[in-house]
Amino acid sequence: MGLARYFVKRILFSIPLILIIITINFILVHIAPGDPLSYIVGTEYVSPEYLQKLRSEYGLDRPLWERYFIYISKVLQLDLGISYRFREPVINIILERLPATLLLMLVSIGWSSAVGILIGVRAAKGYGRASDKLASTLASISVSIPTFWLGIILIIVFGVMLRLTPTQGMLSPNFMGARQLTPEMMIDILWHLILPTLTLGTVYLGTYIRSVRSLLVDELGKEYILFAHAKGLGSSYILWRYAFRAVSPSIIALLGLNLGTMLAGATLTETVFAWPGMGRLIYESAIARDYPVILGIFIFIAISVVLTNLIVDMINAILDPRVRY
Amino acid sequence: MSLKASSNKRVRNLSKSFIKEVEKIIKYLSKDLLTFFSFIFSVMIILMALLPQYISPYDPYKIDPYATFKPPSLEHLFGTDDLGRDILSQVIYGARTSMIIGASAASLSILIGTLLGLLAGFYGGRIDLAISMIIDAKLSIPTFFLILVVIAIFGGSMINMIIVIGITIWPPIARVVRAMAHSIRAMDFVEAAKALGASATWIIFRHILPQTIGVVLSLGILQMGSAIIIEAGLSFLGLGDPTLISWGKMLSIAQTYISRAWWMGFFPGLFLFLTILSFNILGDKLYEYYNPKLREKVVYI
Repeated sequence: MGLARYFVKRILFSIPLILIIITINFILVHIAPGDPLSYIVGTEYVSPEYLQKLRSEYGLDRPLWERYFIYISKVLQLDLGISYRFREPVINIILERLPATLLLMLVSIGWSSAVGILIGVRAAKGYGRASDKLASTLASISVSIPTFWLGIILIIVFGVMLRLTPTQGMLSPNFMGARQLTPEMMIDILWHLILPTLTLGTVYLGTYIRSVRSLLVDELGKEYILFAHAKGLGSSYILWRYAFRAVSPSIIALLGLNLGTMLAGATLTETVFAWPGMGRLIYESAIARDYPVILGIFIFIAISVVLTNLIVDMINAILDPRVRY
Repeated sequence: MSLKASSNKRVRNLSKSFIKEVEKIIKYLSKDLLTFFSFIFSVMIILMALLPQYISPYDPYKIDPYATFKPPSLEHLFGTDDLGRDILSQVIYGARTSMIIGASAASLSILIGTLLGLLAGFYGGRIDLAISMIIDAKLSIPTFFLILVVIAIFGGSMINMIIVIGITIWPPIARVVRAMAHSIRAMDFVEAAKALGASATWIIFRHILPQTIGVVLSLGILQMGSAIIIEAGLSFLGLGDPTLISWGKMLSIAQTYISRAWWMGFFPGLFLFLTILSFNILGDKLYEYYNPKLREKVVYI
């Protein structure tokens, strides 16, 4: 199969997924108790005339199937409704909060995947021995720690007892309202980032250790590895240049697949540390029952995850011909 | 008469082999310390969930305005909270909430996952294609957010949480059962049973299902862990059942008093962590037990 054909196939698979996500949202809005409009724009503090206008704009006076297509076209135009807490289009609020979440996620994925790969490779190298057992135990502990508990413990230890790091927010008060990003401000943001990224990264470290280890163990059982030994190549050369290279596309694909669960972890982490990202927005909206925002974030996240997986798979297909077949 | 006697004998044999199997599993689980600890801790959590009234030292709901924010002491082992309620008693009752939701949601997901997996694996063709597509689609949609959205709209009563978590987390089970059913279907003894005139239902339920039970149960234990953490997460975000004592909710309250009373968040979270850790380790070990191929691999390094 050529690259182009693989791309077309992969894109064709993503389209129904996006439709399914939009459909789930549509169904939720329509079987939820109360007026569907309250889940799209919120009905409080709105005049009856404006409500009528919205009703016809969203096609709520039309038959169901027509509404369905109106809904799909609205979502595809990135019209995710209006928040009734902020009286602003949901998409604007999401985009405003996106950079903080992306910063937290990218830094966390970066360090935890690097450390996870190192530990995972070490575990596979010592398969069945003490270092392997230790790595497995570490991985089990890491995937079992509740994000929010770890966050609270870190705040207690580093914030309350040792008073080393800031525990809330993304910026110190003296930088609030600053227009430009100065170097001092960037340092301040990184300083605030330490505890949240330690929390989020630790929880996902175990996933990387486990998958790198099991992928490598399978790879190291193949005969070409034995042959490389027979040729007289060194162990670490074989490990990194042969085995690790062979499994790296799977590791990259895994990073993409983890995105969805990682976003869930980010939500809880942001809630603990008052990090002003999308996760914190979900928490605030859930408490205020701001349905348009909650539904909007779900659609936004779900579609982003599908698209990221698509991009990751495409990059993989370019880098690794095996993926295409 | 003789028929009854033989059926009695069969039941006796079955229960004998069941006990033998359980003994073998416990022996396997006792081999290393961490797994043994997980087993003991799980038993303890189950006891806490079943008999909280006999274990907890105080009424978890009892408010005492003279005993607020008491640090851990002999009187209150885990301290008291902002309303003077005993944390240890709340942790014990919280185990009940976690276990009910975990066990029910996992059972629901086992039911759905096994059934769909058996259908897809046994019949193949279009049914398989349709079910596999649903599984793939579900795996690409972020589970926690889907559950969060549904709970935010419909409310976080216990029954809602069980249903929503249960019908969201089944794909991993369906995937494994499908693969097993698919390979068992191709075996000679199934062919022989077919030649003897066995119906599809008979083959599925008498020949395929029993072979998947061990693996499904081990996955079910892992899913109990995920259901418990999902419930705790929802309660932490303020979306859980307000009438229940839940570890997630306790952590959420503790957040407000974090610089004043570390014990309010530390202990419920510790139990949440140890419960999930135990279930994860037990589930992994059981899965390994039922997949001997996973145990010993050849590595050329």
